Amino acid sequence: MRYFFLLLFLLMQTISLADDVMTRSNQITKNLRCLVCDGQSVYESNSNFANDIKKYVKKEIVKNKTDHEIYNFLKRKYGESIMFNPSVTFKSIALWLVPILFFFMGIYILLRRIRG
Amino acid sequence: MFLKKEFRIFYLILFLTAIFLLFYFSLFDKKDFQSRTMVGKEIPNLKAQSLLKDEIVSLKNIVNDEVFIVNIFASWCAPCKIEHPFLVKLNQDKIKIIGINYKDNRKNAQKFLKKYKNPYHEILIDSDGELSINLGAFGVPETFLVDKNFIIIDKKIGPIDDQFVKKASNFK
Repeated sequence: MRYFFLLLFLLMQTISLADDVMTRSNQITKNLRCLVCDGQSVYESNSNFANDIKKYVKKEIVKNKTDHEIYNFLKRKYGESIMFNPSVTFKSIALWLVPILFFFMGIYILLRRIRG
Repeated sequence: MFLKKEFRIFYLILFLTAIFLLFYFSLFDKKDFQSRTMVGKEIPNLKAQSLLKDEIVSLKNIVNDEVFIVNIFASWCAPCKIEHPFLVKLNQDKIKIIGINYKDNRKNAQKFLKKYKNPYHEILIDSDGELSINLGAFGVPETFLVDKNFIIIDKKIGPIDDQFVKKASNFK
């Protein structure tokens, strides 16, 4: 009986671990672009490319790699375009900030005109 | 304000040009399909089971101080049959070709090589596609031209042609 419970416990642990791997893998692959498909994520696609990436991601999760490490490896191999949400860079920050800068400059000029 | 009118116009033009350049280089980056990310980088030291002999082989032990080619192929891939004569020609030109046998059945791969000739110096088995991911590959066939320092100088997605053969022969 004792062995039965031990076995049951081990089985439950394995299922829960597999579930965790699956959940994390799904989260990661949803943020990866399938580069041989039209607008699909790796998670959605069934292409050879997407299946290879899915398998790779699961393997790396089992090896205890962080999401960051997995994304970085894939970015090194396939470039930034593999990411659905590209990382924040100087260029992307500048693109967000410039219109705001223009807005405040416009207000400043307008106020000067009104006062003048 | 404090500046003369001509200077103000000059600084305004300079500022607008800087903004234009910032937007131009940020938005006109090719983000849709960066197929050549690995070109210019060092090829990873791939290690896998050999198709030709019963041992684990690693890329950097197979090639030594020479220009070589890495070709991803499979017996089930129709375009691989189209490019095969070009690989045979490259082999006749004494360029070492390392094959990556992608998700294939071992027997079928051996039959394929028997039927169409074996241009490969060594073949690494890529049973789960991990070697291909390591190469930044998109599918089969795909070919990489690598220099003496293990730097990838060119890559071709899809079957290679005469142009690729010429380029590889010139680099030798």
